[in-house]
Amino acid sequence: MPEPARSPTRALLLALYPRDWRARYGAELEGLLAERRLSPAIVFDLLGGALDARLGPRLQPTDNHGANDMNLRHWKTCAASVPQPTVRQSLFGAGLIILATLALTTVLGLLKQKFGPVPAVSALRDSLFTLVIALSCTTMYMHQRSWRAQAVFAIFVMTVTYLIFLAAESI
Amino acid sequence: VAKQEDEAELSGFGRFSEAALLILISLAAGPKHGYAMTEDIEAVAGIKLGPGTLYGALARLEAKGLIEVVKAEDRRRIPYRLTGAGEQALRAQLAAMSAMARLGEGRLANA
Repeated sequence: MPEPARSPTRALLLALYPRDWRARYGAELEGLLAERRLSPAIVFDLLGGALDARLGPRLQPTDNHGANDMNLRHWKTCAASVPQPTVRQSLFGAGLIILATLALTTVLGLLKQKFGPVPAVSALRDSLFTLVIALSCTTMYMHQRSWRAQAVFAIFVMTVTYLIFLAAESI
Repeated sequence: VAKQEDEAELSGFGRFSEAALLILISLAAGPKHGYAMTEDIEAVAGIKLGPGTLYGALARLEAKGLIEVVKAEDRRRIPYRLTGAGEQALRAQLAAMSAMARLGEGRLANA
């Protein structure tokens, strides 16, 4: 049966999942999504699923309960395709976190001087730690992805995080 | 002790515990692929599992050896079935829930 064309939104949502996860479940999830209208609830559910797949426990089928050969072969292939970060990548990640902290605190200082304690500035102050953690998660868990994918993911997570703090500050 | 371990199989799934239980119940009626599971669960429990939740729970169940893949040609519709360990975990979980339901009903009857 010919596979239907993927919509850009569905493709983007699937791309949020880790590469090894997509290698195992991507085609199935894509098949399931093709049967459903993409409602906001489904988008939200997929975002949660992608976060869980990236930050949750690493899952591998056990071989003592009858997981079949196809599964084990899949997982061995996936495990081999996710290299550990090199020393250079780890040092770059650490440097990036230090630089991001310096940059954000500098921006915060300048904004405080210019605008005072307005909600936008207070939200940046409160979210600063979380923003740096979000950035560090990207460098830790997405080191095998392209720089572009890492940048898009980091900007997306940091923007959403800041907006949540801004909304809380504005209430 | 073995029974408690079987019950703990699902409670360790965190926010995916309910979805995992529903999936096991759905697969107790026979092998199903993802879409068929969501349809069945919605029909019997009135709960529409989101795709992210469904596959989060499926991945955990598969990693624990409670379900396994049935070989299929279409990679977009891979059926799953219960393993022996999955059936045992489901029986233990349902027995614990039945006991709790009886206890609650008994207390309500005496209230």
